[in-house]
Amino acid sequence: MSLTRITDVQWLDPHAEHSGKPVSVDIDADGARLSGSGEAAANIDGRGLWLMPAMLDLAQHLPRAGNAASAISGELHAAWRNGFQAVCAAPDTDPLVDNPAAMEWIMQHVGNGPQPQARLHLIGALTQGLAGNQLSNMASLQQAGCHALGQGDGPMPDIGLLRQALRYAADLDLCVHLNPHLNTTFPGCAHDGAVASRLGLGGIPAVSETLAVAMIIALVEDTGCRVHLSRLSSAGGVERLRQAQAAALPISAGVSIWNLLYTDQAIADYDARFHLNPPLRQEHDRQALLAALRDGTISVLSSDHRPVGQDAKLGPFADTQAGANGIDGFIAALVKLARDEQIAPATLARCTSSAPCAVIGAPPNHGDWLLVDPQQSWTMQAHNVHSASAHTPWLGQAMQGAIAGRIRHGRCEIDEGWRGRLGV
Amino acid sequence: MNPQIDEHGQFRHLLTIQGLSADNIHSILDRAESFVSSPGSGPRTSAELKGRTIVNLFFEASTRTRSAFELAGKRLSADVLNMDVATSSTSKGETLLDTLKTLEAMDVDMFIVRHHASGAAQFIAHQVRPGVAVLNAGDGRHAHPTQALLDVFTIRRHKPDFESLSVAIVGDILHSRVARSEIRALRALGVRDLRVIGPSTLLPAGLSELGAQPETRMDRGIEGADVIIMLRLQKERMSGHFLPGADEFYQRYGLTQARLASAKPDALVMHPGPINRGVEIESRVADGPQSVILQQVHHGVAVRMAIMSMILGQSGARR
Repeated sequence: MSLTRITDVQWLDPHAEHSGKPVSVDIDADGARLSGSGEAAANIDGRGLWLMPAMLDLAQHLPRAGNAASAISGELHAAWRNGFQAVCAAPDTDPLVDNPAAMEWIMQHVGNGPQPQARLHLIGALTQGLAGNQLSNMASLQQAGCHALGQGDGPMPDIGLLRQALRYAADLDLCVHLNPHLNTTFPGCAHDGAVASRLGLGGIPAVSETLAVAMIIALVEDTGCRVHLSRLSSAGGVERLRQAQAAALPISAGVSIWNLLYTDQAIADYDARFHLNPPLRQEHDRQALLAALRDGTISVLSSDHRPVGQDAKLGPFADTQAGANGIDGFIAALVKLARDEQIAPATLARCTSSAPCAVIGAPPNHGDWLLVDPQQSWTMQAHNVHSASAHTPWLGQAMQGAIAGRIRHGRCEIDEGWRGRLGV
Repeated sequence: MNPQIDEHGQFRHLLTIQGLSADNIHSILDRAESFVSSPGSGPRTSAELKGRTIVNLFFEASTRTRSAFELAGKRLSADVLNMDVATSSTSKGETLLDTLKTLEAMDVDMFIVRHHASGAAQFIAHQVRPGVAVLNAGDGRHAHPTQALLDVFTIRRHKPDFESLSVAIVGDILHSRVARSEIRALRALGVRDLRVIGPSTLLPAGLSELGAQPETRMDRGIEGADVIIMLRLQKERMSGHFLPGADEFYQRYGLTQARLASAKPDALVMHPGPINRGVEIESRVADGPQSVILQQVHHGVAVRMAIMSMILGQSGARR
């Protein structure tokens, strides 16, 4: 079996502490471990690099390309290029994942392409058509391979139906992923604060999230269902989550990279690239989210990748589609969090690998790794965007941090620009 | 950088009051003075924009504002085309951008835009080719800069010392682009005591960050005010989510003769129109000696002529 030895690398191993000192690591299909005395088939000079597990993203959206399986495969390839070994996709795609046939159709059409792809886990619809008024065929979806259920960006069901849905899902031991936002009660396109008021945009108040989180917590307590709050955005939401976890309720939470990096100030003069869901909120919310990520209250960090179409952002702010390409540049965003927000690189690795694996009940992936160069400077341009959607706030921006190589099943693939430097 | 003003300090567009200095605003008001006709003398006209094409591009129905822009353009001798897009192409599925590009191909010099979405004027200004001007005639809840300018023009004619004024804006602030632009204009001109009055359900978040003091009680809000600006309450907001009903709104916030007594004796009463008599304002007040509502309408044409001539006319540096 081929063994790759990476020397002097900073190993971001979520399962062990290495005191931040560079180590020598051996990797094969069984996983990674501190180097032993055996001979390696390949040696990589890992000086200045991070070795981290390839990532699992719990909050991505597939392109709604209208039955174009190639578009889905393309995004999964883009995800792999950007360091994701697997993605969990929301059910609000096309076809909508509320029945086994739709699921099977999507799963049949991915993974067959000539290029390597991230694995796909589909989140099934919690309610039929995601309309929020009738339970979906949860058991059938589970049999077809669904790991979890959710509403995507569909309407939050009313309390009675949500309670029944959580009870039914609990019977099947399915985890339910919910975006905690009372979106039918509080429609809008930006955080309800001074920026939205100034721009005359419909505001989504933070209480939309705190109410939803409080309601969900009460229902988790009542039903025993496992719930993952997919993207928290507010300090109030974090506070309620903290209380629920102190009471040992089976509830976890994620945060999107956008809410960790930006506030509603980024919207400035209707910059539709920052039309996102959940909306960007205020600095005290951002600080609360960062603190919760540092202390583990929020365990999962996601890209909130949504490959919106070319014309999706052509219009006045409220008329544009929410969402952005979150995978291209995601690694650089992690580097920025480590550098500017003092989040330990090992925490970032945990939040993007073992923690999301635990949420969906998948075994941690031992065979897929990333070599990241946190110093590498580059500029994001249309030609180096892998997703089909170029709608990212980072287009044209200087970035720091890039993937130098990917290891899948122990097989190492170093990007061209690094081969000489890494002695490959 | 303000996209409305070029490197020589000349207006390129008028999209919002935000970012305009007191000098910018006074320069428009000064120009407007030259277009105000005196009683009995007939309207002031000029050949300044002869050969220029101005398109009134209204995605939202409007009679009054559109007429004021049309008259302003015609009095400057421009060719004015009215496009009532609300009832034509967009109902056939044409996008805002398609409509714009089609019209732009007809050698238009200026678009006067009204649209239901906040930020639409900015969006259009980014999309038109260089040299084409955009004048915002109201975008969603965001801005209605010419209305705010004609309001401060009217105030300046009566009470020119803005820094000493107490101004109250009353009614549906939440949905009002007029209020947002007025707050910007009054603050830029130095008004320190600026109160915005309405029930909490009609006050947007973060008002104090915009430089206005929110107040939910009418009597406290208008006490000692030099200027009271009443806003129109849209019919669809009169009952339901925001208010229990029009009667109760009038009871709490209607500007009556009795209430007006708590303001300064020479307080100006203003309203952007059209008035809902008995909903926002008592008829006796609307038609009374302190009301300058019809003066506002009269000044509206002059202010719009001023900004059109400053953008498109000889004095516009880029022409």
